[in-house]
Amino acid sequence: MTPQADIRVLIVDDHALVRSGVRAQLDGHVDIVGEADDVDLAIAAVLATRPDVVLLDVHLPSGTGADVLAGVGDQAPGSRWLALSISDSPEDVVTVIRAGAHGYLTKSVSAPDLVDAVHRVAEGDAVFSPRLAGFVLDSFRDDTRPGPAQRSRPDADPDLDVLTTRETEVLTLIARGYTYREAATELFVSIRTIETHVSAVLRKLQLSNRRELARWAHARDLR
Amino acid sequence: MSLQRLPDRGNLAGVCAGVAAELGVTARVVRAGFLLGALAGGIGVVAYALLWVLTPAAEPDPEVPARSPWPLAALGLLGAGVMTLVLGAGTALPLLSAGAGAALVWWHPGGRTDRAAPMLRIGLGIGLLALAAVTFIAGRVGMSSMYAAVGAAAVVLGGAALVATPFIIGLIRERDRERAERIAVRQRAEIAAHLHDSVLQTLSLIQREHSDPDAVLRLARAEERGLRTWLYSQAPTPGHATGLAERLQEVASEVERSRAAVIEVVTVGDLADRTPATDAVVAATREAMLNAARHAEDPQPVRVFARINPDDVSVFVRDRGIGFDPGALPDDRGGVRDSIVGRIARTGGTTSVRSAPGEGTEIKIWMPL
Repeated sequence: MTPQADIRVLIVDDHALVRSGVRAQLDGHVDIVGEADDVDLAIAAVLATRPDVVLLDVHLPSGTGADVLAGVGDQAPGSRWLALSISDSPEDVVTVIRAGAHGYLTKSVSAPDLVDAVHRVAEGDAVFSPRLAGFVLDSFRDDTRPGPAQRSRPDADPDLDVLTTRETEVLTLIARGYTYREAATELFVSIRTIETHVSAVLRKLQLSNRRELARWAHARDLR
Repeated sequence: MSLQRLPDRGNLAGVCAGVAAELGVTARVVRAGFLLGALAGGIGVVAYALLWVLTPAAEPDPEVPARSPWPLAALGLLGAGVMTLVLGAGTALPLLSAGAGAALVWWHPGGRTDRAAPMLRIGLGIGLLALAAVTFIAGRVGMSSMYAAVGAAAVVLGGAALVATPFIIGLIRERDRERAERIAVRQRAEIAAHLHDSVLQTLSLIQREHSDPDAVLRLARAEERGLRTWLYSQAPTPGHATGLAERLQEVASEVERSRAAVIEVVTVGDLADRTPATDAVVAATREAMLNAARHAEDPQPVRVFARINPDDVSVFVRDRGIGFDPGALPDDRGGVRDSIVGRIARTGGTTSVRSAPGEGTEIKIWMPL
């Protein structure tokens, strides 16, 4: 990993303490272009500063991280989003990922991991914490295969509803705490291949019609 | 304590039993009083009906002694026979009906019962009693005046019902509201109790340990995990049978509290049943966590991943510590051999250890279910 000081980052979080903590963790590794502490300010700041990466809190006083994503829409095509939250609830994870975030980390993440994740997201790759990987494995388990009603839907892409064997292997290694590099060594493939698999899983997570995902997303009117 | 009906101990609705319990006399005395009142122009009946409607029923006692209908039925049969001999055959049918009705009201199978069955039985019994009264009176005064009397009674009862309905509905609403309130209060008390046992306890511990940053960190992390599990787990009911996933989480918090380490547990799937195999997995995982916590290097957490399938469990415990050469197992790693490998092998599972100097250690536990 080469330090790229030119990655421009916007921090969206309602707690000043968290913002300064994140700022300290990223200091010297990226260029922090601004901070915002509520939905409207965040949307305005994204449109004004056009950051490469937005570090997005899932819960804000005036709404959710998903509201910020919806508010910006496609007006900032160059910005990528990394959700950062204290919450582990599957509903929060799935909501912000389906709204378009490229990854999800809990705030207990270590400084090197956070810097690494910001770089990865800036390059367009997905960032899966062990917990997110476990969550995806859980919701794509075989015993919850989509019912016949879903499968017969003409617009449903069956490939989106199951993980390939390779994707399951990669996610299992991430859940076990392996880095992308370690997972690549373990599976005798390149890091690039691991990144491709994870991005494919992210896409499935965002577009799949699987019942659990759809239900959680539906609860927040996100479909 | 205010006046309550005791349906479990009463013959009809438990009014007499309730009054007796309140006054501290035996139910028999109260029943005699109501009976006298009933004979004196029906005051007893009216008083009984009013108390039935107005007093709340006590919570049903789960263990109710059984009451057999047969002695009363035999008494009724005997009475019917005697009355038939004295008054003639015309009274036999109403008396039999009255006996059957009384027996039905009296009868209680004992033990735990649902609400619907006794209602039906008592309703049927009262119906039989009423039928007996009507046929008895009809036999005395003739059918035509009987019709008039029944018609007049129906009009009066209908009117009374019309007047009483809003009142009764009000009572029912009030009761439902009180029940909802009681549930809300109980939930609030449960949450308060949980916060008191966990968060407040930890906060006071942190204040006491404020000079030791390691201890503060450890306490805060363990508490964070506990609160997280409580908030986001699917079944947060206390005292609920805990599944394997939650037990692994609990073991992790326990180890975190006792060692200066962070343990992140990720589980896929769950298993509610507790078997010797799952017990061995939990115990061995705990040993592996302790072992990893000893060798992990802050700030890298110990990572635990458990995949729980319907027919097997795999647990991976990984630390980022110094690692070792598994070919030359040093003596201080004997704990691994006995408490993890041996324990798992005894219940039919397998264990493997992966480690290399400088790369940390991963212990894999596999157990068929």
